[in-house]
Amino acid sequence: MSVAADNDTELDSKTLDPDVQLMLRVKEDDAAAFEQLVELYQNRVIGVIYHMVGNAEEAEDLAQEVFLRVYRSRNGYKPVGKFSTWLFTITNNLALNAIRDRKRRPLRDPSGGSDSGPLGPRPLEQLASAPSGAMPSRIFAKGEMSEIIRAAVQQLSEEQRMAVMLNKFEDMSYRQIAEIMNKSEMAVKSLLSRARSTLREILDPYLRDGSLPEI
Amino acid sequence: MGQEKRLTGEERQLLVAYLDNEVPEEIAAMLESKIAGSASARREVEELRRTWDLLDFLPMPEASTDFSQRTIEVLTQKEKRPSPLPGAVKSWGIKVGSAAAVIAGLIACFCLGWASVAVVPDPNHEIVRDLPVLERFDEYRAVQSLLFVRALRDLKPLEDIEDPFRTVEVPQNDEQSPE
Repeated sequence: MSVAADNDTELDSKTLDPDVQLMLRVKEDDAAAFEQLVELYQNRVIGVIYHMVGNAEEAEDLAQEVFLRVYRSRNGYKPVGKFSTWLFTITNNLALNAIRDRKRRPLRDPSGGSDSGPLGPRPLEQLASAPSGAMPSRIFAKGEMSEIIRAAVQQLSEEQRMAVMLNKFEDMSYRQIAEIMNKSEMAVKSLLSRARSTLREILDPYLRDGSLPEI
Repeated sequence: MGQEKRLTGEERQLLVAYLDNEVPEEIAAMLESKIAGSASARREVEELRRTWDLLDFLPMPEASTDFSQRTIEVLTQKEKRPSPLPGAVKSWGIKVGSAAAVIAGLIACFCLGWASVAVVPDPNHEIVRDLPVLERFDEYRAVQSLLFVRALRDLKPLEDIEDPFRTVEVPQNDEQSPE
């Protein structure tokens, strides 16, 4: 990209994205602006990380680290592109690193259980043992449905999950997702296509007659 | 009854991008035509849509009420800890430190180079030392005996001669002037 084009993008970002303005104030050591940014994005960042690591407490700790990195990187921040793209790039890197670290040092299950997933007992296993109706055809309560869908999402690869979260909940274009995940738009297209096909296959029994999908 | 237009594998892969409005217009038009003519394609699109809508039920945890406050507290503590120096001073400190390290490196290189020259013997050194002897080697060989030279030195019979080994040109007879 040419210098002129870079400057244009910088100018556009400054004028169009109010969060860029906030971040520029953070760059000037404005603590109130930083607090405002944290409050604006905290739930969104925690939500994305939660579905990556599968644990609310860990998600909150990692989200805190995301914001600390934002603050520490303030001097080098350049208002090129949307602020959220920059923020979720940090989020993606931290979440993937946390997952990699966990794979290197697997957590020991104190109960010694063997039929649970990496995130503890699988939600569908819990549901299956819950005395809440006849199987397989049943109507799930909203909480149960959330767990079924969460379990289905957990079946996706980490990269597919991240692409789905950014696409669905951050309403991001393939181009933005590609930038965040450091991939080509074609790769993102393929990731999302496979992710949604997998979700469709897993949730197919539920979509047809409300029965519990096999996970 | 017209035959149903089935989606190819490639077109099926484009369905998600089509639903996300991420395909060019001409591809979108082609897919729409296929979907309109195929019940299975319509069913597939519908299932993809419904699956996507189900994600709205995903549990989304919210930040604890003091999250932003805690984050700022952690930041304040971490910012205080690393360096008591103001940013500009710290930055200059790093620059000066880097320059000093480079200079120290250069001095160390020079010392190492000098030491290697001083310690490792120069093969030409002996030749240079013996050069005066070598230059007059033929003359010394003509003398043949060192004892003779020493005796000659002690007797000092040639003191008045500037160079005792100078070759004296003996004039030829035919060049002598007739006297």
